[in-house]
Amino acid sequence: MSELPPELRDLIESGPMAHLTTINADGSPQVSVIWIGLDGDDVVSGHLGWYVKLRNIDRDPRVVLSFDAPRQPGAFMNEYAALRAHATITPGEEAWDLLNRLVKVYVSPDTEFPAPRGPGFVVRYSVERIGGKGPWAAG
Amino acid sequence: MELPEDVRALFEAPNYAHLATVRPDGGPHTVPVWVGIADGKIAFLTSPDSRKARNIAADPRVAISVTDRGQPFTMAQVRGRVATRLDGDEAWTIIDEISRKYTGQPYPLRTDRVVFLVEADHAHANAFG
Repeated sequence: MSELPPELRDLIESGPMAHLTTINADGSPQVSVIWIGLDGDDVVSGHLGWYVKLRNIDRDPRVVLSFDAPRQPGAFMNEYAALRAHATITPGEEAWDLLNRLVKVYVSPDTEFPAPRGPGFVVRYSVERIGGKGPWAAG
Repeated sequence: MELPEDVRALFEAPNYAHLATVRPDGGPHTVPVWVGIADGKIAFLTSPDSRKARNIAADPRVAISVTDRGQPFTMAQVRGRVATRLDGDEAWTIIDEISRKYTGQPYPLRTDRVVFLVEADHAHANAFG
């Protein structure tokens, strides 16, 4: 998939709480909530520890990122995005830089990321299918 | 396991939860769902022909993630399996309860919905910030 629709880019850049689904070693699903941002047409997230979700991605890169659009009063089913993606992990200090960029979206523009700068992991999500309900979803 | 009180509260409030199941090819599938508590368990409704219902029929293991609508850094994650499927009047009573919580109205349909109850194996709530 080459280009993300502008409405989806806007939603991602607004700082939605993103539910990341990965597959555990026993084949069961696992969900955790993460911050996300954009890098070109990829979605990215930053992590300072080798958490279960990263170990899962390392074993099976198939993931879903799902997140709600802002609440619409009176809507029966709220708009949301569900992105099927192929995730890749890159170690490095860029993870902290990304978290320090995202904290300004998710917390406040003058907040510095509270953990000391150090090594971590950037996860890059190459979006393969856009689903959900909203202007970004086909059908 | 019994749900901890802080987890239960997030599912009793009108928050959207994201339900993850496993596709036939082993990859993940996730959609937002309305949720409630019934018989002490997390309850959600679905068409019996939906992707998630078909996934659950093949593999009942699920993961559910919820954030508070007003305080999004307050959240809970649950892993478990669908232990019970309810049909008919028993289901519609729960569906109407859940619908009233989100919309103030009973559910607008009377066909093509079932209720699944989740037996939790792991459940924890977090609050950041």
